[in-house]
Amino acid sequence: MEKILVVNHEKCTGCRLCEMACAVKHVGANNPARSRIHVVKWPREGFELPMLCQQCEKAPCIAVCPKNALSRDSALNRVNLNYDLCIGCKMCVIACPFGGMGVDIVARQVIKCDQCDGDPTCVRFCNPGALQFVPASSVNLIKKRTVGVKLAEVMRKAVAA
Amino acid sequence: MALNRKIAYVNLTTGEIKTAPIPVEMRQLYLGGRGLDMYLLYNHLKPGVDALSPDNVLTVSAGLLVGTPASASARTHVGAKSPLTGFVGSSNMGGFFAPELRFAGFDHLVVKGKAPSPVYLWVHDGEIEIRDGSKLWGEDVPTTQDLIREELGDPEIKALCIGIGGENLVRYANVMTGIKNAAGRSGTGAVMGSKNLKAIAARGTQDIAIRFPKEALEYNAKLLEHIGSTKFAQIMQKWGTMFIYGVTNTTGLVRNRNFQSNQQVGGNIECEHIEEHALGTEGCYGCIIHCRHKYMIRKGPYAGTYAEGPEYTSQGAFGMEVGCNNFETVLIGNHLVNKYGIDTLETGSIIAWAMELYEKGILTDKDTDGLKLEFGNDEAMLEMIKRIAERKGLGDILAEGPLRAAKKIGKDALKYCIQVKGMSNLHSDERPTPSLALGIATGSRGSDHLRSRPAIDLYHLPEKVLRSIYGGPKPYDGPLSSDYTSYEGKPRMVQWHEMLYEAIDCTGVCKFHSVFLSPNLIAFDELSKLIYHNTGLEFTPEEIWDIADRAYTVERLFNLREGLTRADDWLVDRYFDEPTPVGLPIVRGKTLDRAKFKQMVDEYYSLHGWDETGVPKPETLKKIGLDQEPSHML
Amino acid sequence: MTETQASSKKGERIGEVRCQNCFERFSPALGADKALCPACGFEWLISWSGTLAKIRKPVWESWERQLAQVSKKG
Ligand code: SF4
Ligand SMILES: [Zn+2]
Repeated sequence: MEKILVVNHEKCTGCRLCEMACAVKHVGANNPARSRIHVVKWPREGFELPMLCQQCEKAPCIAVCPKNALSRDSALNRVNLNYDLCIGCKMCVIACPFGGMGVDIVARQVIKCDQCDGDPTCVRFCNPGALQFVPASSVNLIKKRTVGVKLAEVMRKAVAA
Repeated sequence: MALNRKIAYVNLTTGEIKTAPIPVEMRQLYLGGRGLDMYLLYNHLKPGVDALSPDNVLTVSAGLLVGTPASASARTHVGAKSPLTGFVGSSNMGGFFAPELRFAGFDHLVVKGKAPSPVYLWVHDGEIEIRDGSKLWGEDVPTTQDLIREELGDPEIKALCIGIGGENLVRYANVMTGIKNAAGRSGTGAVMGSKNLKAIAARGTQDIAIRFPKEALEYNAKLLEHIGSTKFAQIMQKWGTMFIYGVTNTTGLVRNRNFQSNQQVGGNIECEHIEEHALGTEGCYGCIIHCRHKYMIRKGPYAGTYAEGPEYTSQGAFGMEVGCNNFETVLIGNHLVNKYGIDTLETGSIIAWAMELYEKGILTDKDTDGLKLEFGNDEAMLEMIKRIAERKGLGDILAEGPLRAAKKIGKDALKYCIQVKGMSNLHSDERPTPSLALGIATGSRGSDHLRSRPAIDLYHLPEKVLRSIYGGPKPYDGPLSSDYTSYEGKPRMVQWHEMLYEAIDCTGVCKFHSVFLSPNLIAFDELSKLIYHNTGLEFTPEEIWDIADRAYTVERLFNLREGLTRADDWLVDRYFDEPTPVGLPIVRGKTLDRAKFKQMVDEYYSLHGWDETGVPKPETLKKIGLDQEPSHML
Repeated sequence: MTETQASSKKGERIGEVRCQNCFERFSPALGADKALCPACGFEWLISWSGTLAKIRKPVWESWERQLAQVSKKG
């Protein structure tokens, strides 16, 4: 089943466990600079927003890559990065509208979220459930139901009155 | 690897900065964090120095497991000789500074001397600069951090700093990071202020390599799943430490009107009120408990202010102790102390004491410049917080801490002050709970619930469970009692928690993930595994106990060198003479018994291998390898 | 793992509270904002977060009367 990694910033507590788990999983070390996910924060307001590759359908990174190192992986519904073809020109980093493509200064290569081949480590570690890996076909249904609970309550009352 | 972080020695007088590796032998002796900081203080400080002089030494460190997948490994430890007690100063805080310090390549900073004018340290990827801090001087805690990020042009910078409390040398000023994370006890903020050091900023992109990454992640995932499943974690995630109020004020285990009552009857400041103000909760680095509320003050002169907290301590400080019964007041008080960078606990306690002195006529309108410093006067209480931070009028005297203030005020003032070693007690009333009382009486940094408090003694755990906790890792077959009003076996509980908290503080893991408020969390066995997976260092649970014992004994030696005697491990007379007036039947009419309490202290000393004057015996020192201190290996 | 670890792990105690007077555990009716301890009769205000129960505080209005009752019983 096709799945999407969705972010619910309202549930995020800003703990950065996702960053840590991502880095340790991918490079065996904790280093936010090498993590594929990053929690952007506005500390004076207590606002936090985890950001990562959106696995775009019409991905600018794929379009801009001169070596076809980036491609659409339909089996895992993600944008794949083939290091055998990549020359490290970083055009994708420039093209990505979300900052989803990063540069690993230790490994000297570009990096992006690979969704851990279908079992994202960040999702496993996100205790409050701000990160979820859910079926693409029902992602909006989940939202509809959550928001709908409130709406339904109001409407039930209206009907009763 | 996780072990290749460095130590830096910064001399602010000369501007000289030296860095050195931390030998693995030092890790084997002290792990890091608080333990290694204590070693550094003992070795680098001359006995008897004035804590606010350039001769004092400030240590800032990240624990051994900070930034690893070990649970909530976020804590920064700050050490110095305490300007409040004159004994060991040691305090730690969560947030995001310690991991950033590690990413920048350092575990320990040792700051000496005094800068000729305000400065801040800029620590980044293996380098340290002393930078002009004059533009920061006078700024509050969050603004200081913003200005640093602006000046250096990097929003990811994490900084610790002092507010005006530290600048004004309030003897219980905090070192802080973020909006509310505070190394609050011991007054290390005043030490920073005395050195003209406004802040330390860190930013780094260096790997913290994990020795066995797969196992470390897997072990942590399971541990988090377990922690998250406990009722304790779920309550903390929802309510934060404020949930404790629902137990303690209800039972009658709090200080109300300084020490005149043990319960705020009619109390209406329980955690549930936070729901009207909360914007959500926030976690420290790597933490799933996220006990910190983000809130907005909705009404009054502070309407629209964003703040974080409050903790249980602030409910006591700006609620029960001072006889105020408004949740909004707690929210404002909490915001003010964090903005100014002064310890919420000490501030509330000292104002409560001043209120009792005012009630008794020892302080008059003349002393308060007309301020009606009465219990339950919210405005006067909030105004007093300001005066302390700004050192205005009576605030200037109270900023000196209990003992110095008592001397200045004179008369019977000291008699009413609830303190140990010159540090005010938490707002808890320990008259019905001998184990908690023994903990605050003997704590190395002064009256304190985070050195050794066996909080789970309040849970009436069956003896079998107590045995499974306190029977190891070093064998113990003495008595243990499920009754919290009993004196039986309590010294062992205190010693056990002392060792656990010391070990936890050496690693930088948060105490809330350990056996502190829940019997179900991390203790010596789990620590041994966490350390192994993340660093590759192998210690048995017994060996971790030995390390903690060594570090705690260094704290004891430090205090003895500064003149501590057995008389300092004692409580004020009110604990023994004034019975608790109210509360549930189990806590009513309680005093502590002097003879039984003395016996507990004796037993506690003997468990530690100290003689009856509280001095470690030569064979004890030899056994834990302290007979050669100071050794100056670092 | 201790005994308390084992039982809390199953989440059994999520809906329970422990009477602060007599230390007996009991389960208030889901969502109820008040509950009587079945063992000693003390009345407590309860707060909820989903199915997670917690004692909020005593019913101060009847605090003195309740105290008098238990001490008589005691
Ligand atoms: S793990 Fe979840 S809660 Fe923590 S920072 Fe990441 S998204 Fe936010
Ligand atoms: Zn009961």
